Amino acid sequence: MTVQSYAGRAPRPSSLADVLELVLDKGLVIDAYVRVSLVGIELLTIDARIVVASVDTYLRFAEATNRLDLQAASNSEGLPQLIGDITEKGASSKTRGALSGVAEEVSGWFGGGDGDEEKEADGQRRSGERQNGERRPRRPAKATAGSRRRSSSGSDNGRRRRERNDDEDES
Amino acid sequence: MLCVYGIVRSDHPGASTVGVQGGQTRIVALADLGVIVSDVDDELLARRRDIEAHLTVLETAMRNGDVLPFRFGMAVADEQALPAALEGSVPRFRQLLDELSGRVQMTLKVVRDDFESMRTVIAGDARLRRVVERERTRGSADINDRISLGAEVSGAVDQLSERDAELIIARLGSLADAISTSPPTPPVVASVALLVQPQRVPELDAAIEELQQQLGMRASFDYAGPMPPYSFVA
Repeated sequence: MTVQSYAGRAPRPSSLADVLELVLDKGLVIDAYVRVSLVGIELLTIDARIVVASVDTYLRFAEATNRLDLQAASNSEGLPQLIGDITEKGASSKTRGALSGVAEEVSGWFGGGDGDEEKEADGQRRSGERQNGERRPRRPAKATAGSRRRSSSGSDNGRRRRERNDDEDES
Repeated sequence: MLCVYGIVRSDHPGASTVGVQGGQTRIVALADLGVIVSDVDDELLARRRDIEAHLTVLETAMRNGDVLPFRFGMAVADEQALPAALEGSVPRFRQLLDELSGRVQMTLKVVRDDFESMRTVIAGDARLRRVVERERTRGSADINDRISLGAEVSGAVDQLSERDAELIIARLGSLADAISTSPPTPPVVASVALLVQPQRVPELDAAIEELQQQLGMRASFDYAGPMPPYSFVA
């Protein structure tokens, strides 16, 4: 193992959400001066801190125990695998729906790749808090969230990762 | 309008880089310090391209010396407006430059795999395994039974994550001059920023690789750096 060529480290966090947390949430600020308008950023916070400790989560875990190979887990006599219970599947996809709904909002705002930027330059994104920024820029109006929704062109890491996690839970 | 990137010492060799909106960066003097700036239009938007430019400017400056990073989106009207905006903070900037001198930030985010974590807790807990077996044998369709089984399993998984987080923070904290953690929400196990001396990065690499092997399939690691000390200037 040569630590010099350690492959697991990147110059920047791999997900856009983590990069944004770094440059929008951390770092020095100039008080009461111009700050870029960050409509939609609130959604990121929701995505990062969404509370999933709910009945849906419990049902998802309960369902997952069915997929567990107890024989391998215990090295004793196991039980036949029971896979695919209709009711549980329903509960599971309900959970996923709520999660990916948020992710969609986020990816909608960030859009896809570089080619998306022109479309982003609509009126709501202009710097509204200018000079003596009394309005807190991190409290965008809720109403703008819906208008931000746009189908993802698939380059939002946060969303991709969440979907992958869900798929793993299902498999 | 002038976009503001970071604070450097006056002996910093400077960083002429392409910044936000394609503008060339320059250094403007502020007392005995320097401010990295570039000209921008009035509309400063959080575009992906511009956020990346902000990062690039600061990463380049960091390679040439110490830099205190500003958040993305900071701007003043023009050079004349800079002193009024920043003069009052000069003593704090000096102090921060001394404290952070020669150090870089590394970040680590560990996210668990729920299923693998569950496999681990059930393999290590004979009682829980019996509960799962019993539920399976009964084939209970009672929603309350399902909920209480799930609550027990997810509680055990959360406890495993907490123990993993303690292990990670204790191990990495010993290699860092400062550590900043944000409260994790499942499935995030730990989200950590470390302030380290560059010569200790290989040690940190090795420690993280070890932790990765220790946690195995139940967690994925997102490890990044070196970067300017965003999390240590507030």
